[in-house]
Amino acid sequence: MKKPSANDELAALVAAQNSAGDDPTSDTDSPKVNVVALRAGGRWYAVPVQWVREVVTKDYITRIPSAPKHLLGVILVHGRLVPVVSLADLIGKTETKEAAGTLPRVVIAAVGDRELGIVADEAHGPIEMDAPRGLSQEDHIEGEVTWSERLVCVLNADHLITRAMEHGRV
Amino acid sequence: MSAAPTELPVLFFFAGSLAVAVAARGVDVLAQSERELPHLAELLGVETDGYGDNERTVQMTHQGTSLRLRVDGPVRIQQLDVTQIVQAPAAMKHAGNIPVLGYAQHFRQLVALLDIPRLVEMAQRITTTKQK
Repeated sequence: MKKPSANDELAALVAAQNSAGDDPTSDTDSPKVNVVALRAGGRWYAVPVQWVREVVTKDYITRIPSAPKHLLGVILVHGRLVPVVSLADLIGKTETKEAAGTLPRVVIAAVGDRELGIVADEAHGPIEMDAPRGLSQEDHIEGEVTWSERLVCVLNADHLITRAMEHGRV
Repeated sequence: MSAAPTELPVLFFFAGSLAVAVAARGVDVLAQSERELPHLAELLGVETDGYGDNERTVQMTHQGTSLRLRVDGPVRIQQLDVTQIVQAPAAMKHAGNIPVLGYAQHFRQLVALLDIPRLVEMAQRITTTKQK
């Protein structure tokens, strides 16, 4: 058998390195989900598009007196009053030095007639991602998925709204 | 049965940067601020940048119990039209002990319409806790 040349060895090394970043669980046949991806502090989250009513630029948020810290206040969206939450305060806070790719946004999630604004340092989408894998211990997280080398928590808007407003009972 | 009023006089003022209003009837405004009284912003848990010279004292009464608080001015009385009231979100309708009846749009600002009985209850609870 012909001994591989140094060039072949280098090519093999390059090929191995290039495939190392591939997600072994990802393939073209895996189920997909369309989401709006958002960053809150150092964490990335995604909301499936069926739960996203719209994404608006973050403007002045009017406080709700005596509300818990995560409930930042209300905003007026097309004449509707929408409560706004900070995911960092509701789920867990992580700081980041990541530069924002967009202006701060509020992602309006809706389930039936219940709406909730989620403050995002930046938001992108709609984006097609692999369906989330793994069951989370938390009701409001459907699972996790890798997107652009980031770990993204896919949110369950129904449970998130319930959680945010249940915690609103002060 | 008489028809519900379509407008009502309300008293507008501020708790820090938060614009608030209460039903004007039965609320007295005293020209001078009394430093020893609690500030509305403290009661509501609203941050402020410190209290300025524009403070006033308001006195609200519910079922014979009076509550005197410092508030931030300007304090003004105006008619609130029913069309200014923004419908409360469904998700907020069951949100606990928040002392807010709803919100109104006043010019380009959202104003929290405060619930006087709830405010009086909150103040009483705080006073009782402090005394213990």
